[in-house]
Amino acid sequence: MVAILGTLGFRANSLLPTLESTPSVERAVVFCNDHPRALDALAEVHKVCSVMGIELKRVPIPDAFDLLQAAKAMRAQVRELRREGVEVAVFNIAGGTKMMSAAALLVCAMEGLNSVYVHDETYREIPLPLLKVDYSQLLTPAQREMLMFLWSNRSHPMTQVEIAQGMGRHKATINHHIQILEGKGIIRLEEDRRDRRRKVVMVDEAIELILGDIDV
Amino acid sequence: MDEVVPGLRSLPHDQLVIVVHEGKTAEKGCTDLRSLLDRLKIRHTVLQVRSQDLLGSAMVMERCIQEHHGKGWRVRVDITGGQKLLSDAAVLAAAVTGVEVCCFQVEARRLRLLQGMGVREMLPKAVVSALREDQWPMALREGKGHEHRGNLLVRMKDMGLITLVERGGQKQVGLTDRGLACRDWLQRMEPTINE
Repeated sequence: MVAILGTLGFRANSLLPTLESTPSVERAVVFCNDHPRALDALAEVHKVCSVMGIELKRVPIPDAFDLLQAAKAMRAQVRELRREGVEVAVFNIAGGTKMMSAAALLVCAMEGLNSVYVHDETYREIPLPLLKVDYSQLLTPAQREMLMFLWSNRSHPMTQVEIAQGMGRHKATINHHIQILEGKGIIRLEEDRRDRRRKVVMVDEAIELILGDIDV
Repeated sequence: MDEVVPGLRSLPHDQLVIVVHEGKTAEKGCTDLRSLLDRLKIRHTVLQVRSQDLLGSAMVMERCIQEHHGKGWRVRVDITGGQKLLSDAAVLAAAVTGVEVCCFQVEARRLRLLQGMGVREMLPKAVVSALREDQWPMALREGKGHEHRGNLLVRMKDMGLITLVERGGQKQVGLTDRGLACRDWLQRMEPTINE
């Protein structure tokens, strides 16, 4: 089965050219929010899909301005489709907010998907040949394990000694990995707000993109 | 111009690089912004890109970010203004370089990305040389002729850079879209790679 993915804003025309140009497409997965105009555009896409015999699935994006949440929802869909054995032919990133489009682009780069943009005025498709941004190759298994530990305990930032105790490792080992991860810009060492003598390890929100790789 | 003001007001900065679609530097939005920055005594430069060429724009921005990093600057990318394609290119450049992305549409959103693997880091030397120097598509026989060559092609296939194509009834090895994008990148970045 072949599927196309697309972000959808207020204009169905940003997505329709991809439905027409993709050979053998049987399913379209559309990411859009609950804005009435977006739902109108979705209804129009639905009409076209019905005529063409294409199954339409809508994935709601509650906050169209939250890049990380949108990227997570899109990536989850891509992986679900792959588990089902569905081939993702292309991801149309033309519709929706800038953040939705950017999220789709990031997912394409991380998952190695073809993407396409539809020109605002001519409705001509512009293929976007992308390069793969592969976060999974940035980390060793030990570093991944440590990141999982830091992410699951992110509500209580810890010092290096506390991490060593929590993970049951020697503090020199933890210090070694912390230095490498800090050098890669994946974690930060900051003063604890409650006690400025303590330095705690902080993880950025974007770490979820890396953790997505670990889950595979 | 209004789209740039929230970022100007809330992000600490010593220099602003305005990214503009080629040939639009004389347009009112850009001249108004530059005159505002002059009045505020904010150092600024203009970077021109072809926004329809997403990959090309991303490369230009990536190079600019790397240059600033090289001089010890901290860089943030504000994607609030401009066309969606231009913002997409900026996000791609941010993903490769690991800088923070900010957007001030509706409310302030900031997201620090992690440095990904760009083409430079991903492609082994042998693959780079095959992409740059070989004639594509090539006859399948030619590729299989040598053991090392065969291994290299298998590696390139695993990386999604090549695929089998049929031309005039003959099987050939051609570049995939990603392969073409990588070759395109190598050609455009040639001066940097040779440095």
